Amino acid sequence: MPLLSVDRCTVAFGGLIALDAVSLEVDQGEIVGLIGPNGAGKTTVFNLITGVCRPAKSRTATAEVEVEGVPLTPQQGSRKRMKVHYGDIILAGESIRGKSPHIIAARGVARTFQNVRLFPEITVLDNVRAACHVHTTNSLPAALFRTGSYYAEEHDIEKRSIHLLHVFGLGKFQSAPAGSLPYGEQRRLEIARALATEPKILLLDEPAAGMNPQETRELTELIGWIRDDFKVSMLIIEHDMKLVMGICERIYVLDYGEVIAHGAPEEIRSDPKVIKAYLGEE
Amino acid sequence: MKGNRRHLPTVAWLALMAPVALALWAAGSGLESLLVPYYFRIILLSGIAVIAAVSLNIVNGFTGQFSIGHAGFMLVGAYASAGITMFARPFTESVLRSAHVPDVMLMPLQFAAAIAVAALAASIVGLLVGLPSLRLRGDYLAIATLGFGEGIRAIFVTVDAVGGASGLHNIPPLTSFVWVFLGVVGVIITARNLAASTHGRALFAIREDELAAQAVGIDTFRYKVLAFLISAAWAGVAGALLAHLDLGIDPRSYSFMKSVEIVVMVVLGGLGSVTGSVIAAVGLTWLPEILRPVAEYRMVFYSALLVLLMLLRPRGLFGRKELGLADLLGKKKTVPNANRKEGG
Repeated sequence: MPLLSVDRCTVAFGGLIALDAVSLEVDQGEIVGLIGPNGAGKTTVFNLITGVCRPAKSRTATAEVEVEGVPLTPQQGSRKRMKVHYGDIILAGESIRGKSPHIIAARGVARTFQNVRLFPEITVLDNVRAACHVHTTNSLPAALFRTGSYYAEEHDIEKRSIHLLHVFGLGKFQSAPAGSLPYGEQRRLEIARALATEPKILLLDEPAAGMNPQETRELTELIGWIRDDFKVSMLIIEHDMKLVMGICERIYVLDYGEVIAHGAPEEIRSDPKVIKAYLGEE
Repeated sequence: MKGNRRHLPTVAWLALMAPVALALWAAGSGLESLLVPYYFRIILLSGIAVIAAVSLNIVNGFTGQFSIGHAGFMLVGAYASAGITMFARPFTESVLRSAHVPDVMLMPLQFAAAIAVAALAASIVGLLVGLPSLRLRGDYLAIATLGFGEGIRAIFVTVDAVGGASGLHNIPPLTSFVWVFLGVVGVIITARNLAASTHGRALFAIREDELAAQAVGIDTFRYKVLAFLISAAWAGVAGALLAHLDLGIDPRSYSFMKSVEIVVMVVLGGLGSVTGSVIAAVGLTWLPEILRPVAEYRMVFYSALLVLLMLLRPRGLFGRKELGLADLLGKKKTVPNANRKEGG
């Protein structure tokens, strides 16, 4: 059973179909690439998985359902024969479709953003500590009265966060405002913050954007190492083909909101549909 | 020593502070007999302003949601507390007497109950206002809270059972130095302890980037409502104290201008800085009194000073910095974690 499976989900912005019955799977411990030309809908896939965008009714998928004769999750109150459905998103055996972003994050989906979105004016340490929030159990009164359990938990959060920062080589910045870090460090901090939520799967949105070849090489190493050390699966949107081909075990190619190809890097490299999407026809 | 201090629960701190509080009680009554009533009143007003400003800072400064309806919550607190000390008085007194409470404790206990009811009523209203309006952002939230503040005042003005447009009179004079002091200490502890906890960091994260906050698992809506609740509760306390200092409630003095005054205190002190709110609240309460000699030019000076301060310190007096006890005692500030090396 795959760790994450997106099953025929459609996302529409008004009349514009941004994603059309997209399906993809990520296995436990796997690093999967998501590539495609600009505007193909890659970030929308992330927004769909993390609950920022909700899946819309899908017609394409409906036809598919009828052909296969397998009903998916029916829309409530829909007429007989379940003509309309919303597809489904399954994480570790449970549906996360339609859940709020914070609940999906708590279930184990963490992400970074295309344009780094840190908490710029609080410290580097607090950025990571804020992400530890999701697993805290202390109540508000415990915090207001500073009970023993408050100190124990805060101490634990602090220890974990400092450890994480050191692992990412950000230890010396911990009391600086996050927004004051150099760009590369901000990107690393964003990954560290995402890992602080103890995710099952990490979604990286163009992690190498704006990096020079040297930095990209370091990032590639970092990603492999994160997978082994933190035992997380990863779904990576990236334009840097060297990174994608070098580290991803499987690749999905998205064009105009549809998955046009998927498979191992070698297969993708020589797939005529992919070449057409990227370079156009002769 | 330092390590022990860090791990002292707030309750223990308060117990240690008991002798200090007793001394203050004495000092308060001494101050009252020494000072001209006029100055003593301004001291109490400063304290009430501190409670209002620090509590508003939890919403506007910590959480980054711009609310300008704080006077509305104060008004709810004022009426709720007056309800206890005026209308429910025969009932509460008979209950307390039957429990053999000594006579000296009758009024303090009733006032404590009144303040608690004020906080509760204001936070319930805060919940009712917050649930729909906190879905709005920025300017829209500001307008919604402004509408609430004015609306709640209009309701009290039109209901004759609570005095209508002329408000309430003959509220017992229960607000003393000690009550205001306890309120100030309470609101500061609330804000500082909140800020140092995971809940406070959730609020900061919302202020910094709401989408990113959701992405790391923070229930942004719940925390915005929570901040609103805590803030409203303390505004209710400020309202209760003000009503029992003024010995009446004039709905007109809880207008939009009052809300703006509190917002100015928060912004001037530095959004997010409790220390800044305290200092700005005290300063802005004293300033008009100090400027009394220049009478008609008072507002000119007041405005000019505000403009000047915002020019010189656009992020407020304190920005987001805090001044703790350690700084005041001249100790080297122990930046948490800065000195420690590996954590795990």
